[in-house]
Amino acid sequence: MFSSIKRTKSRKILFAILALLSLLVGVACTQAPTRGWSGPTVAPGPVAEEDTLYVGTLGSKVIALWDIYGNHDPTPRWDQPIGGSKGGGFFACGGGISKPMSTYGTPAIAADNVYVGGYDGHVYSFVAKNGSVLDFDTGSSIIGSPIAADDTLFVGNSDGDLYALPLNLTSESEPKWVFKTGDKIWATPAVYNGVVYIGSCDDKLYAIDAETGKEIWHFKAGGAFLSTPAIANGKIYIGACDRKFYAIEVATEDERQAALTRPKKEAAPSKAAKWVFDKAKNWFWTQALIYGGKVWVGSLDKNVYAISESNPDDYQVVCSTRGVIQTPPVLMVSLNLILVGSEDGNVYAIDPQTMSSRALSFDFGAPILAPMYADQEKGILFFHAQDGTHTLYALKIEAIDKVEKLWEYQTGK
Amino acid sequence: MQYWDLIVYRPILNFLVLLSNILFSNFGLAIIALTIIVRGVMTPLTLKQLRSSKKMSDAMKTLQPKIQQLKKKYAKDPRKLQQEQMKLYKEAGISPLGCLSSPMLVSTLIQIPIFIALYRGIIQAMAVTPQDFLGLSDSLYSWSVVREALPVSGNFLWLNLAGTDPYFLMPILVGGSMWVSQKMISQPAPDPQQQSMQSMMQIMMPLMFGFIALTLPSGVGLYFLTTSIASIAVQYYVYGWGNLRRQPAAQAPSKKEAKPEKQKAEVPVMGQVSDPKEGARHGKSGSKRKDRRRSH
Repeated sequence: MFSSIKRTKSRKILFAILALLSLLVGVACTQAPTRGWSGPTVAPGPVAEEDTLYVGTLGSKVIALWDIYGNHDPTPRWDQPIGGSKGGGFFACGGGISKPMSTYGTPAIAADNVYVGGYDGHVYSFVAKNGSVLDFDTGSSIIGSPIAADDTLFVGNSDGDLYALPLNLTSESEPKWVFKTGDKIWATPAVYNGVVYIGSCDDKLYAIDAETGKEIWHFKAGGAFLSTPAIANGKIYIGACDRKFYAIEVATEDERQAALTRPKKEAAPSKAAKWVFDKAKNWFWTQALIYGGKVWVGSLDKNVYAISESNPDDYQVVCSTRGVIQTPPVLMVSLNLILVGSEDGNVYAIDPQTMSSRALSFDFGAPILAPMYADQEKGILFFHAQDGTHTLYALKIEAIDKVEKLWEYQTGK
Repeated sequence: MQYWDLIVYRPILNFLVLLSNILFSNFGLAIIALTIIVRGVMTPLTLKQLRSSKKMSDAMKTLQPKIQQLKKKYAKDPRKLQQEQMKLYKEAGISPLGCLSSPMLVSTLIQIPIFIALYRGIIQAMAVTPQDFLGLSDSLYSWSVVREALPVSGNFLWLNLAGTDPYFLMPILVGGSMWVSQKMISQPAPDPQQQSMQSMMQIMMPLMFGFIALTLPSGVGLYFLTTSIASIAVQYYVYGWGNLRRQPAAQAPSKKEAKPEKQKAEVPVMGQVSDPKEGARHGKSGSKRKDRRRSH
């Protein structure tokens, strides 16, 4: 076969074209932008100047910034690398392995430690003061944030496992328990009255006893759960990928006791929803805010809905944006304003009294997908805007039309 | 681009996810099924393309003697040779562009966007990362049967469709099946340069796709493999095994081949009855040798 191929000019040209095409595709694919959407968390220090902001970066790091309230760039305190995925690889444009993966989860703070889940499946524990790190391997990518309750850290991974870990985490730590769901867990859990609530991509919301890891009940929707549950007034509020938003009553003490005494082979019962809101035109992928008798929630249909807590038919579209809404609404109590970020690069302020909204005077020019942090005392909003270069912003908000940008800080490229 | 998304890409993506739900929540079966369905719909065009190609190559074969005559006649005048060749092709209704001739070009152009949509749909439906999943939300219809299927399960046989094949079987199967498919329909080209390019493409394309299958998610490799097998089936219907089983055409012997034949002519063949008179003419040693053989 090879002997029949003559060295011709056209053969060389063809080979050169194929090689160039391969090189272009390969290089283009290795240049894919890094993925991830970590939001900021602020922990108060002994004095205001020592309040520290923690956030994950595109460069697969967790950074700590202090001196965050002045009209100048914050001061880096420490930064530590965490595992991600470097991505790249020839012809690998289409596969997930091709894209560099960074941090999705927002850091959680408990017992003077900062906890973050990495795309490499490790849960990282940093000493807040100096950033020294220990980690525990769960074996599969972590997308949601960990949450700490009492002396336990709860975190889910892409294998569908919900871990209950001790707060003094090391690589040799034994989980208190591991609860297995039917598909990926990309959501952040919520804890209320000794019960952990977690949504899974197997279309179920689980109520699990925090102490023993026993399933109390589950609720089945028509699509995956990617949102964090919001819990208020005896109900769990959560949206799903079936474009519906649900209100479900929290687990009662009787239900919890029944779960603890249930035989192992017996399946946990299924729970029904109290009500269902089905007017959205796309998925729900964010936590709701419960305030003033209403449920405020953004959808991937680019709208923010205000739904009556007691009646899903009593609702209003209070804000329409030009991008998907994946950030939970945050309440600025002192101003009585609800703030929400959008993929269109704007932060919108909603007045719950008049039910009107408007974009703040800045256009940040990059999608806002990560949770925002509102410092209630100082009236400052911290958030991450990201499109290849992640930029952290601090906005001082005195009124809906009086907003000042304190600083912006590039956290990665 | 919006129209392409609306008319081609989104229907294919949604149908793929729908099939996944119907076929036992198995995304691998959905990829195979949709590839076969799309190939099935394109079959009339593909058959036309193959038959046109076959007709062209049959016509080329009948013209070979005339082309050889022209080459002998105009051996010293390449320009004239080319002119006469073009004239001959035109009279016979053959396009020297081969696969770029009109009906085949139209057929190929129609098929390309559909296969690109299918390829892109497979990648997006697997939605390995949250950002990919977010991108999927805009492309899906509001059918509950589609929503219920997500996220799709990536497990199929030994494969994780969202990741590479850990045993490297898929790239081998992709490359091998593509080689078989190409070999079946390849025809000897009249022009040595064209033949050389053709031979190289038969090696390069399977190697390249095998390499692509090595690095891309296995779901894409599965799509390539199913496409190749479907092509083999359609080609078999038109050509049979075609060039896969065909013996190479007889060629003018090279110098090396010529030498043994000369030597053969000199060596007497065993068992042949020789003319005793001839044996006597060749000398005593020859006849004695023959006598020794007869005594055994």
